[in-house]
Amino acid sequence: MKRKRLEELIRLVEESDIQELSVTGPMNSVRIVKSGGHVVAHDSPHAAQSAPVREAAPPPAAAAAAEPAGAEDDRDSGLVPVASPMVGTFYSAPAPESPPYVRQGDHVNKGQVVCIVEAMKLMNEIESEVSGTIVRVLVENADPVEFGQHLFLVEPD
Amino acid sequence: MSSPPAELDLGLETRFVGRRIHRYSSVVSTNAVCWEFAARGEPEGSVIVSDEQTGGRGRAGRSWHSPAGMGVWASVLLSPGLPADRVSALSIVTALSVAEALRSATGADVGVKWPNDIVAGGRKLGGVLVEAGATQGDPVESAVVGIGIDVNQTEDDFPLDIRGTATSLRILTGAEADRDAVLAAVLTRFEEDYLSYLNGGLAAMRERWRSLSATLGRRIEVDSGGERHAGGVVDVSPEGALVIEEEGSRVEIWHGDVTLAPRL
Repeated sequence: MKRKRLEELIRLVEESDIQELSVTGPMNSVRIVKSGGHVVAHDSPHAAQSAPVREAAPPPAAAAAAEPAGAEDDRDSGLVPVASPMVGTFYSAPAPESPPYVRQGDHVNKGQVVCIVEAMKLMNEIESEVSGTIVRVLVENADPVEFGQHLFLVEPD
Repeated sequence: MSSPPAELDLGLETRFVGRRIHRYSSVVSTNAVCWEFAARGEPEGSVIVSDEQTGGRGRAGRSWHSPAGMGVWASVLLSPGLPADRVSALSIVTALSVAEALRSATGADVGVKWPNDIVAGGRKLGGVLVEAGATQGDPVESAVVGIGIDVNQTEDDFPLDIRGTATSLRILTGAEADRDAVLAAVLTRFEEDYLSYLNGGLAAMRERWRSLSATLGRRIEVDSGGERHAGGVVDVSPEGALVIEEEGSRVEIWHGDVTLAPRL
């Protein structure tokens, strides 16, 4: 959840008689509890996308709890995953005969397209959230991918 | 970019779709040109249309035959501001808009095939290719909706490999159609449905989709990213997935190529 949105929600709770508010977004959920005049927010990503920079990083224990089964243990390695924002088919290249957008070892810039995830014939060009080096490619071309599934691991610059 | 475009005014009474239309004689792909415009700050709703595409794209880079003067090849720039997983259903929305606009404009019996095909008489009449850019967690700022409709081809105009599986409005109605009028009808209808989708999702459109679905009740097979499914089509889900009944249970199909199973 973006900070601005979080601040809006906190203000909403502060200015109202609501004692507790839970909001589940597509990427994460937040629980805001009024306690002794203070408002406390717990923001937890659904699938522990370790540290997109604009998110408040969850405490390590919470991240571990939220980690989907089978996910790689990359939290302590400083690697940043590129995760799929939707259910779909992973395409490593813009066309079957084209070279892949990125390969292991390639350097990417923040905002650079690293793959396509297709669902319902919508081609979603997925961008890296950080500048860095692709250290792992976790899926193969044409693999089905799930919401939040890690596609690449990037070692930030 | 190709030779400079002319501005086309279709006199639409839409709010934003098609208020600016840039017409080219030939481009590689209207979607690609639309992205170039997007990068330069073009307003939402702007349309790129071309008499010809030399490298029209289908899914995963498959080519789309789009010869000069024969069809409507157009792309609409949008700023949906939706999460990526909600943008996918724009394929469904657009295909439905196109099918209904063509029915109204020509009287032809046009339907939809999940997710993005416009069909008539068991053949393909048009298609939709939506492209978006996303990072996880951020709303999708820009999307380009590409629309291809075969309008004035005769059977002989189609390349051999798709002859018999492709059709055109001319083949269906026996008369040539004014491509600008077709585009105007499609854009007008599309804006209405797009706004409806932004406001209320697919709720208002699912019944219409069912009534125009060429596959409803038919048995289909789908290769969904390595997983194969087969079953009868029963619905489209509120999120736009194809709902099939497979061995007594309902399965939602989110991606893949649907083929009709042969009738037994």
